[in-house]
Amino acid sequence: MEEDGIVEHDEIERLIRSSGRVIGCVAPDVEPGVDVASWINVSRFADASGDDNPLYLDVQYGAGSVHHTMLAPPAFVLAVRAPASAGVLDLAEHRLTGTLRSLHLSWDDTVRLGDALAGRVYVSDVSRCLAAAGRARARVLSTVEYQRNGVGFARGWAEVEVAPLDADGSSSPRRSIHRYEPADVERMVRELDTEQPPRGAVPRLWSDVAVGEATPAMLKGPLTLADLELWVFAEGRPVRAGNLHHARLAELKGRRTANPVTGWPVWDRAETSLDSAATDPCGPSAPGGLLFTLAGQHVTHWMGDDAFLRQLSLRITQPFRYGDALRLTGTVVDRYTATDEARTRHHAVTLRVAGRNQLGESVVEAHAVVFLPDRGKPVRLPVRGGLTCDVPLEN
Amino acid sequence: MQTFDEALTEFIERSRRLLHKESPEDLPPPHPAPPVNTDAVAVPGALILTEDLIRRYAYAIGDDNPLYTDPAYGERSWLGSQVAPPTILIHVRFPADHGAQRPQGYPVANFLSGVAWEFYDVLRPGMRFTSSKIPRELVVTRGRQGKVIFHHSENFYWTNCGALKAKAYGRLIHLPVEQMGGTRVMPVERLGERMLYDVEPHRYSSLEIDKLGEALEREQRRGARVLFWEDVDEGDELPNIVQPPYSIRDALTYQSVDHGLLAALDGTRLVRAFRPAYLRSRRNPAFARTHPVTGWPYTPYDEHEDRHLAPYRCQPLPFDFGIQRAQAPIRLLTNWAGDNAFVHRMYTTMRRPIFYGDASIYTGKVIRKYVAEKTDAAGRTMSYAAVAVEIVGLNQRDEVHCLGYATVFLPSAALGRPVLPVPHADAPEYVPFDVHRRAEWF
Repeated sequence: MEEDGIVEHDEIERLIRSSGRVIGCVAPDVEPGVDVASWINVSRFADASGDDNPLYLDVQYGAGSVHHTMLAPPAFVLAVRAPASAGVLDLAEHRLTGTLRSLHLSWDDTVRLGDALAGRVYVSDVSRCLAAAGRARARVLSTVEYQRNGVGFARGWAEVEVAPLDADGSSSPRRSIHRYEPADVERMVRELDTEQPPRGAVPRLWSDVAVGEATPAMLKGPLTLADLELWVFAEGRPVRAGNLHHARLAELKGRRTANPVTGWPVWDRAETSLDSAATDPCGPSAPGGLLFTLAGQHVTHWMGDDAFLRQLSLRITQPFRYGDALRLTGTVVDRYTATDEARTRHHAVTLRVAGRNQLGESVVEAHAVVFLPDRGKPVRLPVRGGLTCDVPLEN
Repeated sequence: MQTFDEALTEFIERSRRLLHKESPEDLPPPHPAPPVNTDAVAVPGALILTEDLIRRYAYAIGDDNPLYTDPAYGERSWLGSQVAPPTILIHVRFPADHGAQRPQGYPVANFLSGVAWEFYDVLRPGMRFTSSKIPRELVVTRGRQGKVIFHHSENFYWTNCGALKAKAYGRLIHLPVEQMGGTRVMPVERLGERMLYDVEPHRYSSLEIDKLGEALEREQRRGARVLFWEDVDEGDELPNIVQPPYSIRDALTYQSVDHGLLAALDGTRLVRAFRPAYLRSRRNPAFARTHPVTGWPYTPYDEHEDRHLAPYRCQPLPFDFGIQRAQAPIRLLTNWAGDNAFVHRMYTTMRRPIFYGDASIYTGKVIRKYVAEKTDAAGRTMSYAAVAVEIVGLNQRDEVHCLGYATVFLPSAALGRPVLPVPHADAPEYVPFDVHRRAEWF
C-alpha cells in the first residue's frame, strides 16, 4: 500500500514537472470544435441537453424575440473550445486520470445565429493539491477566451483534478447501475409530465424577483447512452474512424490503454465516458461539460428570453452516472445592481443551483449571475468592460 | 391489440402500397424558416458541403486523403478543388427505405443489407442537394431464420443546380420477430429469447494483435501518382485496408455527421436526449425501450451502441450500422487507384454484423478490365478505361461480413483521364436488385 502511494506520488510529481513547459501555452489537449453558430450546430447543442427552448431552435421565434434572431444557449461556447485541459496528461504514459472539478464562464453578450466563433484555451497552472486520505493529486487550471466575429465576448477557467487510477482502472467509487422501482418510475414520469416549459417571451422582471424564490425543478435522466452520444455530437469535435484514431493514439500515450473487454492494446481511455461494455457493471458517466450545460439550461429556462446569463460557475462533486437521475433545483440568493464601464446599470440576481441524484447525493453545485430586465429597463448588451457593484455590501 | 401475424400482414400490405411513390423518410428536420414544403419532390436536403464538413466526414469514414481534407491539395489536383468522398450523400438521404410506419411500430428487426452506388461526378464544397427516394421492390421469402422481407429502394441525388450526381439502390431486410408481439418493441422479460448470433466479444491474442497492428501500419495511399489502366491486370490484388476492433467511437462516427440533418421517420425533429426524448417515447412507443437494468421504460432505442439494449434487435453485443460498410470500402478503391481515378460504381452487401470488438479487413481483386461506353440523354458517348473490382470484408475470425463489387475508371494512355461528369440519362432507369448485385453490372 505504501509502495502504491509512492508510485502515485511519483507519477503526480512527474506530471507537475513535465507540465511546467506548457504553463502559459495553448492547451495541448483541447481540440477545436465548431467555428460558427450555424443552425445545425446550435440545434445539436440544444438537443444534447434536452433544451427545447424555441429561442435556441426556432429561427422564426428568434426573429420575433427581443434579440431579433435565434440565439445559441450560452454554454454553446463549449462546442467552440472546452476549457478542461489536463496539461500534458494525454501525452505521456501513466496510470492517472483527469476529472473536471469546476468550470466558470462569463459572457458579455449573446451568441447569435450565424456568428463566427473562435476560442483559445491556455494552461495557467499545474500544482499539487491536498486530497482526502492523503492521496496524491494534481490540479490543472486552464483559462479560456472566446471571440465572436473577431471580438472577445466571453471567458472563463476550469479546474481539472488529476488522480491515480484505481487497480481496476477507475477513478471514483464504483456502484452498479441504479435500478428503479415502479414507484420511482411513476414519480419521475409525474415530474417529467408536469415540468414547466421555458419561461420564454414573458419577461421575468428584476423587481418582481425576491431573494429566497425557488426556480422550477428540472429532472434530467435516467442518464442514457443517447444522452452521452448527443453530447459528443454537440461538442463538435471530429469523430474519427478506428484506423485514424489508432494512428492518433500513437501520439496520445496518456489516453492509450488496453480495452478491458477485448484486450486490444490501443484503446482510448476517454471512451470510458461512453462505453457500456467496457465499463460494466458501473456504466459510463457524463462529461463535466454536459453537467455545466444542464445547469446553464436550468437557469435560462427560469430567466426567460429577455434576460441574460452573465456568469455561471459549476462545481462537480461526483459523477452523473449512466442510469442515474439528476434533479436540478435553484434558489435566488442575491439581488443587486452593477454598472459597467459604459455606465450601463444592470439588474442582477444570483442563483444557487443544486443537482442531486436519485439517492439524494450532491452531484453539482452552481452559482449563476443573471441580468434581468426591469420595468422600462430592458437588458442592454454587450456588457462593456468590468462591472462595479453599486452597493458592495448587503444592506 | 393486434397479434404478431396481424401486425406483420399489415406491415407488408402497407409497405407494398408505398412502392413506386416518393418515400416520406429522411425529410429535412422541420426547420422553421423558411417553411419547407414537405411534399416537395425533389426533397430538399439540409446538408451543406463546407471544407470543414467534408474533412469531418472523411475522418468519420477513416479516410484522411488530402484530396478530402486539405483544400490547397485539392486545388493543385486535376480536380481543381477539395472534393468529398461521394458516399457523403448518405447524409442527404439514407439509401434504403424502412417501409410503413406507425407510432407503436411493426414487429420486425431491420438491417441494412446492401447498397449499390452509381456516381457520375465529384462533389465539391459549396454544394447543397435535393433527392428522391422511392421504394421499388418488396419480396417476402423464407430463410434460415424464418420469414424474411427484402425491401429495395432507389435514390437520386441532385445538386441544388439540378445536376444529377449519383444514384443509390438500397436493400433493407426486415426480420419478423414473434417476441415483439404486435409492436416493434418486445417486452423486457422476453429479451434474449431470440438472438440472431451467439457471439462473445473477441479476446485478442498477441499474435492477432501483431498481425492487425502491422496491417494498420502498412496501409498506403497512392495519392497523385498515376495508376494507368494499361498497367493493371485482371487478378491484381488491391492492398488491404484494416479497421481496428469496433468500438463505441466507431458507432458514433456516422451519427456525428448525420444527427440533426434528417427528420425522424415520422417527420418530426429527431430528439434523443433527456425530457424531449421522454416525450417522444410517450408519443412513439416504437422509440422507447424498457432498460433491462434500470427498469426505466422510456430509454431511447440505442440498440446498435448500448450493450444493454442490443438484444432488442436480437443481437448479443453492440453492432455496427450497416451503412458504415456502404462507405468504408471506398478507401480500399481510392488508396489503390489514386487521385486520378474515379469510382463510378460500388456495391457492398452486409452478410453479418461487425460486433463490438470485431476488426475488419477489406480486400479487393481486379476481376475484369474493359472499356466502358457511357451515353448521355443527347446521345453523346464517352469511353472510359474501366476495371471491375471484387470486394471482400472479413473479420478477425476470417468470417465474411461483407461482399461487393466496384467499377473504377482509371486514367489511360489511350483515353486520358476519366472525363467528368460521366454521361447518363436525365433520369436513369431503376436497376433491379437482381441486376445490380451481379459482378456483370460492374
